[in-house]
Amino acid sequence: MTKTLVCSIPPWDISKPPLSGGILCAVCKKLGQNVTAVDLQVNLNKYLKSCDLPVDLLDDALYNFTHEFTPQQEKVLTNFISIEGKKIISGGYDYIIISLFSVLGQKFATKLLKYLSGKTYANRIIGGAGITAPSFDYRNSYGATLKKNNLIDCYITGEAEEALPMYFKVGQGPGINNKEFAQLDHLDQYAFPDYSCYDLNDYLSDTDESVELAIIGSRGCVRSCTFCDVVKTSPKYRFRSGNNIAKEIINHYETYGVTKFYFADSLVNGSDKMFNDMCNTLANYKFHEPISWKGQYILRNRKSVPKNHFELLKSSGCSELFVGIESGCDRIREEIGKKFTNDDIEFYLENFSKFDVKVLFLFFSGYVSETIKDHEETLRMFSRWQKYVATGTITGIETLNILMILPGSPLETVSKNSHFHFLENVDGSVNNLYWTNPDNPSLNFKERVRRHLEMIDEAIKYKWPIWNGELTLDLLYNSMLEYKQLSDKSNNKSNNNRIKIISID
Amino acid sequence: MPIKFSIELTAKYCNSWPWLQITNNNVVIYDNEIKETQSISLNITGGVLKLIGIKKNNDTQLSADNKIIQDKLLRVDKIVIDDIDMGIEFIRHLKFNNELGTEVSFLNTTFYENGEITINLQEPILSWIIEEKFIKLLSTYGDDKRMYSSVFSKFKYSVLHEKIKNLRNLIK
Repeated sequence: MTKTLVCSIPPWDISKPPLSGGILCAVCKKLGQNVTAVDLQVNLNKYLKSCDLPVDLLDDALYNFTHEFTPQQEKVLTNFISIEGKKIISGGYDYIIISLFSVLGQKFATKLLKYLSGKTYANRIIGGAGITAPSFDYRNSYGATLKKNNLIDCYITGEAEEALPMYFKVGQGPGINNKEFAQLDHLDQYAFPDYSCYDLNDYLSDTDESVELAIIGSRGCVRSCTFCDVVKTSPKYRFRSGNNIAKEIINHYETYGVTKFYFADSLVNGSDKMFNDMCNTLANYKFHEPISWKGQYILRNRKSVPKNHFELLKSSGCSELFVGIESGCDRIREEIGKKFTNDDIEFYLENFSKFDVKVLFLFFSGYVSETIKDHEETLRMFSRWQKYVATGTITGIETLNILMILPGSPLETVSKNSHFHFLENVDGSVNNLYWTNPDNPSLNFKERVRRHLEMIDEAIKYKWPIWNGELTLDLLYNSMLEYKQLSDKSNNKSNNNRIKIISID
Repeated sequence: MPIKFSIELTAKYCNSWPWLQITNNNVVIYDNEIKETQSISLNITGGVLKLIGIKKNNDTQLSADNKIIQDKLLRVDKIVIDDIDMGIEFIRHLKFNNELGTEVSFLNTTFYENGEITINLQEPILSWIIEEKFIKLLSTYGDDKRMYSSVFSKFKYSVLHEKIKNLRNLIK
């Protein structure tokens, strides 16, 4: 029987087992393979604890491309990879499937793959969101770079449910060692994620009564927000039927006793029908203990919200929603393509508060056309909705994103049509973070950082909880350093050009 | 601006009902016995609010073998300030001072003996509520250790201020 290892790479929030791991296990088991799973984030935490070291010892260097490892970090990581690598090699697997959840895992994955190189006969496959992003060499995608360097046998882009069996069978096809993956249709036909290869106790904290499992009910998004590139990876919005999703939740509850669920979708309520069916089925199922779920959610115009919507949300087990409000300014939100206003947000907040549904706001500052007046309107949001922080309805803001003109996003087209100016990286490639819009020239990167800081200041003044605040500021700091460096380079270049022009004249 | 204050209580009878006195900056604003379950709503001002629970010494009935068979109690079930429910954890973490001056946490949210709990209300009231209800309680519980990194804390304002200062220096 074919022996397969599904290996998840850090970083990963270990409050739940990896969804991608569950999906990969289900795909391989359906093919009759003997599957083992390992979550290296869980093992890394255990290893660090066993060495009496803090669990975040490696974080700053491991998940930051510009930070070097200290000698202690290097030693700890090398030891850990050697221990895990030996276990993997001695497993005698036919296939090793590496699941890379995020670009932040690239450093770890590279070290592991280098360790395994030449020591295993297994076919090494890598997939996940972290492989399509640029690699450390900026030119190729990470997956292609690994393949070029013979560190893997195959990389899979897009969704694995079809591509992986195809690779096992014929070794090639859409999404196999190329970016041209096929989107899945009819999502109800695929098996539910299988977590039987994981020890769910690894994901329980001292205070938790139940582990949390991730669910994915849809792929893609119904909106086409200008800054977002989901349309590139999932051009078409596809969703499972509400009953099928509810069935999966009920299956996990009955099989593993799990009562907490997290939707990994871009949005949980893209289709009203699917969402209502799911909520109704969950609300009517006789769970012996209450279940709860969280997920990303879109707001709509208040007039389109059905009367019993919030009651249904609550009775289905909804506990917290993550909402991209993006800006506190209606004009900017309209331009982004969000179809709701501050008054709509107020309406939702009143009802979330009434039915005890919590909400986390996601937003950023410095949209391409944002004026100082728009920015000030955003700042007013913090006093306006402070009462919902006090009630506990607003659980926080997340301002991690600094607006980048993502390839494939609608903003990329805008930037081309409006002749945005971009700074160049050291290797001459375009840096999508350091843009300037000629129609709004005062909003350069420095000004965007200034506004971002003002926004965080205002959030602190009104005591809003800030998720990832430290990480956001670290990213801003590193980016600001890089911006200065690239600006200097750009200025020198134009000075040189000027000197040349002068000399020619 | 007056602050709206309301409290929900449950009383247990023994010989008589327990008594509650509420003072706001040393002025008595409520002074009465509490029967069964009761809700009291008052307008108050910022400053010191004291809830004084009173029962008499002979208000516990014991059996021949010294077991409590009936006791007078006063339980605080809910405190709402400016229409915002402060939550049970806020009540549990209030400090209870008995007549002898011993201070303990009000973990059972119940006056088992004579004593008082003090709430120091500060304005702006919404910021004070957030501080009391979330920030102080989170510092009691510590960071959520499940996350793979400590950067997920939500209220590390002093750390954020420092980082903001560094960034401002950089963009000067």
